[in-house]
Amino acid sequence: MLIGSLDIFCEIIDNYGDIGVVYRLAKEMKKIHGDEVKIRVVLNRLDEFLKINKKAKNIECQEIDDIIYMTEDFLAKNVCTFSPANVIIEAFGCNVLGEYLEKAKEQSSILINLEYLSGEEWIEDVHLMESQMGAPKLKKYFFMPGFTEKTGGVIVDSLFLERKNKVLSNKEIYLEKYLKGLDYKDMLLGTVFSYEKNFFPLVDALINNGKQNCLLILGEKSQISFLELFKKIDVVKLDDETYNIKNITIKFMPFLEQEEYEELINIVDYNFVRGEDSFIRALLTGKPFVWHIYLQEELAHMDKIEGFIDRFKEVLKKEDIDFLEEYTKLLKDYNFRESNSFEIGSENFNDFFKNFEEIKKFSEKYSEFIISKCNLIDKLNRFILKY
Amino acid sequence: MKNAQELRAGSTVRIGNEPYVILKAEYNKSGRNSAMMKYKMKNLLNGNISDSIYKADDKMDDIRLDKVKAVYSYNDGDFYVFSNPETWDQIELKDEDLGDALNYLEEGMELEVVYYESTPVAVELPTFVERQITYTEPGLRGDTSGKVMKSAKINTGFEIQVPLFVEQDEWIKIDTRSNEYVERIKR
Repeated sequence: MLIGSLDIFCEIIDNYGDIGVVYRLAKEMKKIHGDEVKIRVVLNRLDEFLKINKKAKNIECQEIDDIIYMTEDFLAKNVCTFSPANVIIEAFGCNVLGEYLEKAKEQSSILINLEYLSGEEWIEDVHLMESQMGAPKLKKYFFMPGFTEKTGGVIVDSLFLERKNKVLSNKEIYLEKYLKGLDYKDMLLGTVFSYEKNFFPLVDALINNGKQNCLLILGEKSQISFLELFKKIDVVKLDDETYNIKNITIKFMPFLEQEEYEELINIVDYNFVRGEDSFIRALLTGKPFVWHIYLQEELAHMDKIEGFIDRFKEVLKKEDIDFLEEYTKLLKDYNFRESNSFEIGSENFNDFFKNFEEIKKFSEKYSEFIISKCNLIDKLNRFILKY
Repeated sequence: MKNAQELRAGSTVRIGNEPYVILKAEYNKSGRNSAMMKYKMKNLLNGNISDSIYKADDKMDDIRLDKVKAVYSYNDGDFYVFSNPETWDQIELKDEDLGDALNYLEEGMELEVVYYESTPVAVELPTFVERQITYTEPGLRGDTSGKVMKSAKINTGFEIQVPLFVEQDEWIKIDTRSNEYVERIKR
């Protein structure tokens, strides 16, 4: 089936992950289909979108790079004049406006419930399963992102891959762009984008890793976490954004747009990431990473972490990797807590830096697997076109 | 209207213009994903059986079909035979009509048979049943958190997850909507 038009609905709960995925999806679909497909994105609020896209304005309906972005309120006020798209995506189980949906039942062809990413095995069983609606024309399917070929995959956008190649081919230019004023040569460079956390174990491991280190701290919660830590250890403040602890230079970064963030994570040596979208970008860089998952009640997030680790090992287990147990233990320990706080956790980063080159080698390999076998947009596009 | 999560095997719903009976209901939830209900459903007009999935909070148009109290008697190979305790009429259902009820069916069990246009089409289980555990690995009596689970087989052969402290031969209360352990009981 040809995609004549595409409406993507997203209810942003908090942070930048939800809009990050949807923004990326919309841009990539536009890139694939060009003028043949009219794309509209309906958002419940604009705050996060305004931050990740400098072209966005705080208005109810706007066109950016040939994609229309509108608020739910705008749609509700104008729904009587709207024709639903023939393909509709409701991201992360959000509810589509009732009046719009009633029209869609008569006029549209496919409604896809694009869910959150998970590595758990049962995801494969329900991926592309129909959710019967009893509509004359419209069919609804669940699309389950995951880390295996039998799932919906993850968003591997060509724009990211192009940017990655461009940045790696011109690394010096980009290092100068983001680290101007720092003596970054011969430094081990890492980014930290997290929720609230006590980073003493990380700093302690860096002090002992025998290298000159530079940590680039992104996002308010990460920066607050480091400021809390600075109250308890000896820190030299170099300027408003830069601090020094022994062999570690710590730089607080300004808020970066999505594209800038992608440039940065491709020029550094490792990335600490949070949520879903930046986690996937970290995987695609092929660099060592540590994932701070979005915490859930009753430690439900640990099921996701363990699901991912199981899938990660499935791909890499053919190799004899003795460090994998230590590395995956770090991923679990880093996330094993009931709430985000400044309490110290049990994570130990020493093995991460000791095995850094090996982890890097297998991160590159995993990245190749994800890019070739788990491309969500490619899978989604093929599913719709075959329909 | 009901939330999808409130429906269970034996519930009847209208989807579009067609009536369906839910034969199996399975709940799935992980992290931020929507909680999901996976159903095996039978279309009561054409008898077709299909699988379908819903968000747990999707609104479903539940319909009230005729139900009569019944007691399970026996299986004659082709049919599961129930009797109406008031009229002593025999009611026959095939295994595909029973869905999740097969997990808990035992002689003398009281439940409700669902009728669509005078034809029995399904059974609806009580929300809770009490069953004895016939096998489970020895557990840890000290673990009373109930968070760590293990497999246990009940007297109908069905396996469910129970906390580590639950022992073989004990009786437990089970929620038939989710097939989940509720509590230990004394009998």
